[in-house]
Amino acid sequence: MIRLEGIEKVYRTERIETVALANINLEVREGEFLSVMGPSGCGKSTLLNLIGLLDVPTSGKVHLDGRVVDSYQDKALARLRNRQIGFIFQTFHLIADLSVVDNVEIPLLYRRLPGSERRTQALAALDRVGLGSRVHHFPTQLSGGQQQRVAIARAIVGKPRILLADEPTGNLDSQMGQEIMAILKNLNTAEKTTVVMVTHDAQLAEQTTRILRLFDGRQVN
Amino acid sequence: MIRHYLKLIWNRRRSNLLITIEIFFSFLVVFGVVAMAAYYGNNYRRPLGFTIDDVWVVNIDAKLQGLPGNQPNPQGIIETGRQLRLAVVEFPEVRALASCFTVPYGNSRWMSTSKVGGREIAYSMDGVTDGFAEVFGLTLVQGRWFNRDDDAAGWDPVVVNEHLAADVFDTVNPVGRTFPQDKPSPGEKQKEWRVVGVIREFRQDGELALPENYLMIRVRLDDVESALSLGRLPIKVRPGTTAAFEERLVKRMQEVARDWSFEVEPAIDMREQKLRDTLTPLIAAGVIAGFLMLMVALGLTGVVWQSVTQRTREIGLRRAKGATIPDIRTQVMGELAVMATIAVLLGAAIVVQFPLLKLVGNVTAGVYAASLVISSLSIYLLTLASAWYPSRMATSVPPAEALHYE
Amino acid sequence: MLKNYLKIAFKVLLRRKFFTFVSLFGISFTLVVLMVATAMLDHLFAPLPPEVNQDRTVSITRASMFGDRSSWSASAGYRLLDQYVRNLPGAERTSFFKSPDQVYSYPNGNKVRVFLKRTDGEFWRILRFDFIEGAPYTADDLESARLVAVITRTTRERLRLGQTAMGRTIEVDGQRFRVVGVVEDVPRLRVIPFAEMWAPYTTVKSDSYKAELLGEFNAIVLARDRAAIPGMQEELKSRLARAELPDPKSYKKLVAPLESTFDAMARTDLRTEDSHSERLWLMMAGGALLFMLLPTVNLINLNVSRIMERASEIGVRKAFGASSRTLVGQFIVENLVLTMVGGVVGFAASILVLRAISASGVVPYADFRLNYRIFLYGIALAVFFGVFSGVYPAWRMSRLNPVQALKGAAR
Repeated sequence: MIRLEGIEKVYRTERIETVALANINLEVREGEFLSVMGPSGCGKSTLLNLIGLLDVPTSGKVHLDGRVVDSYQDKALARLRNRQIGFIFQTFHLIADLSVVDNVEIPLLYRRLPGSERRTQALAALDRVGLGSRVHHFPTQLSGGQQQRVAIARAIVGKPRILLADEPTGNLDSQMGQEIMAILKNLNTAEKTTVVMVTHDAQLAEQTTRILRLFDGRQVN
Repeated sequence: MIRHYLKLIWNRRRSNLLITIEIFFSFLVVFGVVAMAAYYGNNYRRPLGFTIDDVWVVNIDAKLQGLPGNQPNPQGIIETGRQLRLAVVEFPEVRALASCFTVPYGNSRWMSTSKVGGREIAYSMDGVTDGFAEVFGLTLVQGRWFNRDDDAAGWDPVVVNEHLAADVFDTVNPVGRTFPQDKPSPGEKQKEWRVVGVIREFRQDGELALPENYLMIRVRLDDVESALSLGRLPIKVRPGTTAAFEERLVKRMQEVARDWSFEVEPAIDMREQKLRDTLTPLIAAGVIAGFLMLMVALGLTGVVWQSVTQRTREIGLRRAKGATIPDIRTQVMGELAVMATIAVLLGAAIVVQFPLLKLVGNVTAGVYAASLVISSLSIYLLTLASAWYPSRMATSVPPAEALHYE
Repeated sequence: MLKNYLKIAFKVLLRRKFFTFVSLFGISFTLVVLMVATAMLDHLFAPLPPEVNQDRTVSITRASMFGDRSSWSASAGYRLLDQYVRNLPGAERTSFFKSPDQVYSYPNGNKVRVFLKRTDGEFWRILRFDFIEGAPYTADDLESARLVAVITRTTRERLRLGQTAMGRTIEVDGQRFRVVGVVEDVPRLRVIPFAEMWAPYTTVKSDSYKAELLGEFNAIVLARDRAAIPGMQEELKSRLARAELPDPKSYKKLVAPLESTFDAMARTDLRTEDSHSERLWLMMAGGALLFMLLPTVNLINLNVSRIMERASEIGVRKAFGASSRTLVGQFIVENLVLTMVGGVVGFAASILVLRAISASGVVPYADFRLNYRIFLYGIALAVFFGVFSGVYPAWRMSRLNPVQALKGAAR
């Protein structure tokens, strides 16, 4: 479904060149649950950002469903991000000004749905992650695990084909981490959502269908 | 240490540039107002050269037909003028009287130039009668004032102020010397001007005006053209004279010259009007500038506050590595001080061009420099005051919490 | 969608109260200054009773004679107007009047200064004054040089004439006038109609004015319609060019521009054909822009801060499919909300400031007001201001890379 071909990501300042990723060739198949593992600084998050079209590679191509997408214009990219991709961040990145349900609605805002429709779908997503009773709370009133669940609801409300999770359990204790993992696995098997997860926790990675290892920006077999 | 901070500022130059620009414009605004105020303030301190205590100015409209040289009945006008002056002097309330072309705080100005050794010297002048010195309390520092003996002279006596004397005669005593005039047009006759006295100063426009060159020439009221050009009769009245006298004075003058119009204005009223005319725009500009500075101060406070919040982690880190609270505060205020310095230097460089390129005339270097210094200090004060509160807020969070700030 | 933008806008503005306050302060202060200035200019130039037909009225306020080495400027003299300005083609009515003199009256030993304007009868038929008592004097009064006068309400008060001044006699400038009419006060800055007392110009003490080419007179001409004005101006120019000058050796040319008040004020040189009134417009517009510079930079700074503070929110929205255009749109809505609220505050403050200035008497008889015209200018200014201060920050925002924005490093 998603194919990375000859990907390279280099950060340049006036004097220093940092190679974050080099020579990455990777295919993410539909329906799989892929983990990306490696030590800190090996480029895992960068890889995820490229797959999620949040960033563009320095060289190489990103294919989505056979089409080269990395050079698309902002509007087209936005459309893809909105419809095909859902992102979950390690630090949740919920908007403190908005209530839980308003946060979850965000992807739907950019689809021109009427307000009532948005609300219905958001509530359904919150139900799916088990937060049906806290819809009008604000993020600061929730625990870490609950906040991450809101973030997941936000990521799935638009029914994306692929979920990208960047260390989703990194800021949570082990029990909450297991709960989150359970939700992700359920989404993968029941809804056939493709999941790509970055993690450094080997125990979690073993619960997934495939593990990709990175070291110093390169794939390791 | 300083280099470290300078590097920091340089690396963030994009957002710092906007702040520097804002401070730069603020400096220009403050300088404009301060320079004007300094200019007037400096002028105010200087000697005026005359007093207007108990001086009233009578403006005479003799209803001339066209140019003074073309009157059908010049002798009649001269005679009426003479009767008028006699009638005015009769009043016990009138201590002294004179005739002249223009008066202090008046709206007309008579200017002329003379060539002296290749330079062109400009001066303002007035044609006056002998009583002028007494009415306006002029004191001479050299020589004497006009008197009747000058009637017989073949030349026109003039009195100059020190400024003009220095300009034309340098250190030489001007008394008794000929005052240079420009060559007359062909066919025109010209009488010699001779300096008989020097007064310290005479600033026709009053306290707020710059000192200038001034010359007074004696006028004889039996000469037609002079008599008709002099439209003002300044008089010195006894202290305590009321407006009731004004009515009597006007009535009497009207009796003598039925067709003429008279207007009496105490010199202090003229002074007040002039001060008001000059100062009102300055005051308005000052009020507006004050509000602008308030707006800028509030704006900078907000911007610095946000910048500090964004750098909470950096600040927590520095404190974890041993920076004290005063260190952090100095850093925040110091960064803003650097930007203010750049803005002020740029502003000063631009502002200094104006007198150098002669875009602004007649400003003393001292006043300009003082304005520059005052404006710079004000801007520093403004900037540091804006940064003060956010710099305190920067250290309100304990380092550990700050490091985890998201 | 718009409702969402507005909801977010209000929430954001309320959360950061200090920012919002400072932005509002800057916007409303700028608008107050600009609107007060506009109101004063409007007071000077816009049609205001008694000048009711201002668009088809032109005037002569200055005249000049030029020679090789000298020039003489003053107002027009009666002879110039009488000989050359009567019966211009396209003129419906023509009036001549003297510049106001400051004259004095001494009721009961007090000294009262009055601005006395001597006019003809047509003056009252071109300008529509608000008579609270009596009626104006007529052409007949002018012919007979009757000592009659019209005074203003305030003059009636200052001369202690009580409730009604009709038929009373007042002594001004050494002459005794009978009051035939009382009008509402006229603003000092409206130069053409302004005075505190009016009388026929034939009552002046000496006839000397009749022979003058340059003197103290002004003229106003009410044209049949606007289109007739250029023709009138041309005709007057050609008449003056053929005029016989008294001292042809010294003065060779006589000019007296016939134009609107605005043009007269814009004119710096009487000899040029065109008054170059665009220059005055440009100066005013330039002045306004110059003034707005500092507040705009201030607002830009605040806006950029606002954006950088919400970098992570912007990153999230981009990650979930907001295009740059959408985000810029949201930001603009926020900015416009701020500007509109600032505009409302600015309006209210302007009304108070104008009232204070009018009451202070700095400009006598002034009644500065806001009207719908200034209101519209104000809205235009507010929108212009909001857009101007929003363009650069919006551009910065649209260029934010989602990854960097999420990290909070919105450089």
